[in-house]
Amino acid sequence: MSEFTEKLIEKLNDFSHYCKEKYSVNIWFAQILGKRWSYIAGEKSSLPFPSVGVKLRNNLGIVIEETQGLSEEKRNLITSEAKKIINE
Amino acid sequence: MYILQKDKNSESWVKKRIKYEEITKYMDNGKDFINEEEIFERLKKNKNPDKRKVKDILQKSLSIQTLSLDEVATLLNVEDENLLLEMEEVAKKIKKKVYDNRIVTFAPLYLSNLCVNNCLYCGFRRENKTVKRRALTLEEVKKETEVLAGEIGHKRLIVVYGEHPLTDVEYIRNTIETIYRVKVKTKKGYGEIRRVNVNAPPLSIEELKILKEVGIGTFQVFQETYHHLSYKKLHPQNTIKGNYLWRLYCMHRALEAGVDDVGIGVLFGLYDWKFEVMGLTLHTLELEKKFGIGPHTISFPRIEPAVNTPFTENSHYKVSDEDFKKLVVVIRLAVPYTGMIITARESAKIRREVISLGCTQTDASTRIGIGAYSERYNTQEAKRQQFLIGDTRSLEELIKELAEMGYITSFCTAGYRCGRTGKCIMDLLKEGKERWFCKLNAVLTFREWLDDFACEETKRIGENLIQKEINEIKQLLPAVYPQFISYYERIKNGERDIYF
Repeated sequence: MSEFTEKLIEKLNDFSHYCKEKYSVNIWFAQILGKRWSYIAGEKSSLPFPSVGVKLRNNLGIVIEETQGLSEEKRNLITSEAKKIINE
Repeated sequence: MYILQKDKNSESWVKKRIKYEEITKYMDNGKDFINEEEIFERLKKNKNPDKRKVKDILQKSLSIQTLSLDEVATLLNVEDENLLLEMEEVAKKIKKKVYDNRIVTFAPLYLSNLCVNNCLYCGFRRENKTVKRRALTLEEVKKETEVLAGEIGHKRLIVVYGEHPLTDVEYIRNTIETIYRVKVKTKKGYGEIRRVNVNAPPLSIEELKILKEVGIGTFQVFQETYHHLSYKKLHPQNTIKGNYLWRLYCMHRALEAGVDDVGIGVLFGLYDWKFEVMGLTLHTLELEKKFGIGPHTISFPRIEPAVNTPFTENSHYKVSDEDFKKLVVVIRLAVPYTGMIITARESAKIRREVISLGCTQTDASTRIGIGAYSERYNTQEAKRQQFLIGDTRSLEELIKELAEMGYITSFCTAGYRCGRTGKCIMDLLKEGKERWFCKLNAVLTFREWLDDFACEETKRIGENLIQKEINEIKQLLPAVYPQFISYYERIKNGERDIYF
């Protein structure tokens, strides 16, 4: 877990809250380990919406809930913003 | 040559296994967390419990909170028939609240019976010369997986290993990678193993990190008995397994290594069952306190006969069927969020009775001999097995029975592939949110199995059950229903592995 520092996790949690407020969507982050996506940060909602996992880099992914109000454009925007955060 | 070299050095391998610094770092003031005096004292103090107190404890369980040691001791001491029935009812309600009416199925896959340990109750113990020793090659692992995933239709395995230099962490990694690579064409789609859980000897932090990288599901190690003296008597001191603390702190190491789904358990029949339930509770409380994550699953196997292993027949602590049912109920109430596994060790009759008391997972089409699935032997062969199982029924037979009992068989492996792991899934379970994922994914994966593996009769029974579930989803989850039904239709049309 060493590369997933507390600082990074805090940033990812903040970004998750930001997405919830701005896009009304729940997102969370996971370490990718073969088939396993192991939760590291972010927030899930109370309803079981389907979700889409997008690889941000080899071992880190973002999971975005597919709520009906979320367009593909917004999803792409969230993904690219997340990429920026992890590369900061 | 490599194998011979490794085998020759098994003595030195054994000596290097235990890393004391990976035990002592977790201990409080040099003491382990199984305080036996406290357990006995609490069991004594809470005898003849007051009805009101028991009812208050049941309310706490229903709110999905882990019970304290005192509270578990109270429940273990309940003898009143009416109160026991009430406990059963609450256990059933908790199961429904946390996991809905689904039962997840899996198969055990024994990879090797080589072992350097010498546990008195185990058919695979080193000195048992009656057992035929063998470790599967990777080609054989592939063949076993092809039968499990391509013919039976399992999606989830628990892989089981003995402790031996030839089946070390490198072997464990290679075999799991082999299993994950298998993909077999089926009637309408394809079969594959989507989640591999591991039952292995205690490993070091470094080794556990290797398993984490492979993408395992749950890492499972049973303490066998939490009673120090019994543990010492049953596990010779000159063996690795003779070290109680190395085993006890294995889940601490797993969680530190980042393996965040861990499974604990006891082999009931080695010591007093009430003490062991208290031990499981202390283990849960310790993990929650130190890591904020409790056990993903709890297992409660009872000791079964094994070839040339008289201890299994003569133990003073064998658990009666009645006490077994009670301990299952108490575990359900004590750790309401945890998965509970009842296996084919038990007879069909006992499984039928115990499943409804709060169990969440079970195995079927179970074969525990090394190579038993692909070599297609159907009767039990004691010389190839760690013990004799009680229920050899097929997955199809079990599915039919579960459907008659109102349970839907689930092949869901979704959670761990979209980040619902560790603390995340614990929170969802405690808040009663995970049950909705369970329900939706149970229907989707059951549909896959019916189309790919079921005979016409089972399909008909299964479809009736699915229709009932779909109606319930439409009524209870209207916001999600449109997406659910579109996934369902896609699966009917041959797409696979779509999940919530």
